[in-house]
This record gives sequence, C-alpha cells and structure tokens, in this order.
Amino acid sequence: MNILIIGMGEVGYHVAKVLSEAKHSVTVVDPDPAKIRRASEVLDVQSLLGDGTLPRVLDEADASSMDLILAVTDDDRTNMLSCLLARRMGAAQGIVRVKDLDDYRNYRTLLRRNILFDEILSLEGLAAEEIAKVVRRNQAVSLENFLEGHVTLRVLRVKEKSPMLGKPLRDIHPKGNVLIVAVRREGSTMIPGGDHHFLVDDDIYVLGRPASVEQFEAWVGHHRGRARNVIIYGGSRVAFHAARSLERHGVKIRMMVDDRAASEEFAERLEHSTVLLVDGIDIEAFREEHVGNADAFVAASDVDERNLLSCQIAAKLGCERTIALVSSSDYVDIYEEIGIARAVSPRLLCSDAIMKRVQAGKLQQLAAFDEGRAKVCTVTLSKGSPLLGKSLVEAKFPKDCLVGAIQRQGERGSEVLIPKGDDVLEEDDELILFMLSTVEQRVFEHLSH
Amino acid sequence: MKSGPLDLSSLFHEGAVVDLRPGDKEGALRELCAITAESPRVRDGAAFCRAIFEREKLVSTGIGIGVAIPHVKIPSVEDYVITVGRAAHGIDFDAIDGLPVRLIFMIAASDQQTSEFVRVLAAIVKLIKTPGIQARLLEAAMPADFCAVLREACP
Repeated sequence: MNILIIGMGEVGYHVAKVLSEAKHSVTVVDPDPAKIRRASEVLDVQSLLGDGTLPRVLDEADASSMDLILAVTDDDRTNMLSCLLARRMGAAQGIVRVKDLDDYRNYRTLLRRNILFDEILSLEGLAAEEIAKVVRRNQAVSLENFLEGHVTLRVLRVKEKSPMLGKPLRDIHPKGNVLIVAVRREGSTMIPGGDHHFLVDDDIYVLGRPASVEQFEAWVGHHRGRARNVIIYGGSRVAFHAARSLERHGVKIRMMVDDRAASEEFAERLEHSTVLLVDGIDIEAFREEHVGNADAFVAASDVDERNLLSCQIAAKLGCERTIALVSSSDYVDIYEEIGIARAVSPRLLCSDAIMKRVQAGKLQQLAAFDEGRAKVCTVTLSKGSPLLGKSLVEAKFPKDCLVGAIQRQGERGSEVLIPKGDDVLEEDDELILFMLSTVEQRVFEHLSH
Repeated sequence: MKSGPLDLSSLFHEGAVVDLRPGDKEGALRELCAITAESPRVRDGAAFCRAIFEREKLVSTGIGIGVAIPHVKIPSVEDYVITVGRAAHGIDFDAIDGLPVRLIFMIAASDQQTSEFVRVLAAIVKLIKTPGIQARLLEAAMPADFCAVLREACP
C-alpha cells in the first residue's frame, strides 16, 4: 500500500516504523527538520519537510496516488485539513487522529462526509477503552467491547438446568435483548441457526448492550464476581473516559484526582463515581481508601512517574491488578517486569488500531476468537452500497455471518441497535459483524458488489 | 534529549561506582547518598539524603531480581547524577520480590526532569535484564572493569 503519514510525533513515528517494516511504501511529512532527519536516517520511508495542510506539500508528497492517508499530528485541525485535502486530491482512504472524541461525538457523520475520513481515532479514547476492558476482564469469561463500549461480547458456558436446554434456538426467548452469535462445541465453532439445540458445556458467544448481556447472564443463572471495587488515580482525559466507560458497565469507581479543576469536572460529569481530591501521592490517603483491597487500581495521571509509583504502592498494599497508563510504548515491557500487572500505552494502541485497518482493507477486524476461526469485523455502509434500503433479511448476508449490532447516526448523535431481521440498513450505518473466517472473503465481496 | 535515544553510559563515571561496606539498607543508602552529594550538581546533600529516605518510605525502590533504584527529583539538583553501589553480601531491601539486593543504582535528578526520569529507569531495567550482565557486574574488578562492563552493555 502507498501510505502518507502527516505528523512525525511519537504516534506517526511508531506507525511509520511498523508500516515500513511491513513493506508498505510510506511517505512522511512534518514541518520539524529534526523529526524529518530522524525519520529519513532511521526508517525506510520517503520523508518530506513541510506543512501537511498545504496543497503544494501534499502534491509534492504525491497525495493523489495514496491508498491511505494517516493524519496523526497532535493538532485536530491540522489532521482534519490534511485529510480533507489529501482525499480531495485523490487519496483513497483517510484516518484522522483527534484529542477527544467527545468533541465530535454528535457530528461523526457530518465530519465523515465532509472531511472524508474513514476512521476517527483518539489516543485517549483507545486507552480508556483498553483500561476498561482490562479492569473488567474476569478470569472466567473472555470478553470484548465494541462501538466504544456500547456493545459487549461475552462467552458463557451452558450449564445443567440452563433455560437454553431442551428446545431449538428459535423457541428460546431470553431475557435481555441479546444475540447468540456463535457456539463452540468440542473445539469447533459454529454460527447457530434457528433449529440449533444447545448442549451442556457448549460455550455460547452472547452479544448485546452491556446491561442486556448482564440480564441475560442472570437469566441463564450465570453469576460471576465482577470488579466492584475499582480505584482510578489521576485527572487526565483517559482517567475520565475510563471511569465513564466502566460506569456504563455498572462498575462503581472511586477516583483519586490530583488536580482540583479536573476533580470538580469529574464530580459533576460522572454519575456513579466518588471523586476525591488528593495531593500528589500520599501513602496515608492510599491506606485510608484501602487501595490494597481494590479489585483493580488504575493509575492514569498525565505523569508517567506518578502512575508508576502509585501502582507500585497499590501493589505493595496488596492490590493484585494494577494498571498504569504509560506515555511511551517503549516502557510497556519494562513496567510489566517491575511489578505492574498491566501497562497501557495509548500510542501503541493507536498504531495497533491503524495496523488492523491497513491489514483488513475494507472489512476491519476488531477481534478474533478460537485461534482465528471466528472473528468480529466492522464495516461502514457508504453511499452507493448495494445494501442500503434493504432489511437484514433482504440483505442476505452469507451463511455463517451475522450482523450483531448497528451503530446508526441520527440527528442527535448515534444510537446502537441490536438488530432484528426487519431492520432496514441506512447510509453510514456501522455494522458489527460476527463471522467464521471461512466466509470472510464472501462477506467482503457481498459488501462490495 | 526527549526524542533521541538515551545514552545511559554517559551518566556513569568511575568515581561514582563503589563496593559498599557490609551493612543494612539504611547504611547502604547513607553511603551512596554521601558519594552522590559530592557531585557539584547536588547543591544540598542533606536535602537530597532526606528526600531519598522519604521516597523509600513510600514504597521500596527494590524492583526485584537483586536490583534497587533509589531515586529522587528535587530542585537543588541540577542534572542527573547516578551512583552505583555493589553489595556482594546482599542487602535486605524490602524489594518487591523479597530477594536481597546486590546492585544499587542511585539516581539524583532535577525536578525539571519529570518525563525523562522514566526513560532513565527504563534504560537501567533494560540494562540489568541483559542476560549474564549481573554476574559480570558482580565479578568485575572495581572500578575500571565494572564501568567498562556497564558501558559495553548499555542500551
């Protein structure tokens, strides 16, 4: 692929490195001579000194022949403008990085149509979702979250006396609006049809809104301990978004915030969390809050060193699941070696997200299961898609592929639907597809024709 | 310094590498503090020593596998000073893995060096994870050979 990267900060550099090592043809643009020098000396890329919002510079970078433009400077406006110009010049796809998705949440469709990007990514958003996922990961259940945490996928084992037993799937009317997207039995994974009968010890993949999936779990008599006692340290955007994502999943948070303005904002905007203002890292405050007993301790301040130290203290006090936000991807392994259970690097997550996009082409893979035999992908229906205006039944997706959720852009922001057969597909719908890998190519073709 | 690779070896020098006298954690820290405070970059040795002990009270800087990295950043330090202590006898440092400490890297830094500190820490952790390096450091003749091993192995 021909890929143009605007911005050689840490994200741009890391992505350029990974992409060029994967033998893509990469061109990088940055106005800083030192960054361009470093890129041209260390990486196998074409580098160009200049302002990526200038048509002249984009032309020189050959934007018109690009398969993908990545606008990843730390300035939202630069990224939007670079992407727009490059796409107008002829670049086939665009990814835009922004600081805070919240600022754009209700205008995604408007922006997508007018700025012409295919994906909008925020480092903070990616980090917050990753933290929420790690906090909620339970030894007994594997799970993934999609659509910024509005849709969740869980794996549950069918037990004796389950209401799932003894009748075909079409006659099972579970509590909670969920979809059973797959079944794993004796090592093979299948997508169940209406006449499917479940057996004891089947693993079922359940997809739905977090609250619905929890209702469903209660209905089948599946009770698991969930993280109830979670502490988040820090006053960053990541801390805020992680707390809000966890709130959506019914987790109550105690926040220890080291910044007065942030603590006031959090107290106002977080409905179910307790917010405490703390002065730096005070071990007495950690003791008073019984940090050692927390199911998880998340350190997400803007200062690496504080995150490291506060996690070390939490571990010392007895907390087993410590999660530290770390600004540089270089430290991830090191943190995990010195007693931090998990280090989360926004930049690494961002480049992973971009790599997934590059590798998948149109159909973007979100998660894979059973050694890749089943996967969850997402696709956005653009203008001209043959599926627009069709109901899901009429859209006739290939066998072994299910539409698990739809994110629809309305006038006042987006909503998430767990679809039924008669739901009609609209332009800009973002579909979450669950499929067996054997049909991936067919699904891809189905979406393209 | 932020974006370029960190040259850890430039931060070590022979005068700041010592074999510690037998003793406990407190004695080791005091001995290393005294040597560190001899550097002109450390303007207030007493304040530095107090800060080191305060930090140690929060949580031990014994990061495991026989290594401790006591460190502080304070205004009265101008720039990095790293002092390395070797304790063949092993010191109970209350380390995270409970093992006795044989190598101590003491770091003094200016309070302006917030983001870089973790880089220095990361570089030291990378260094001591190099296979065989700890044994070589513990066996090297002091101080010249020890420094040579450090420089050679520096990431």
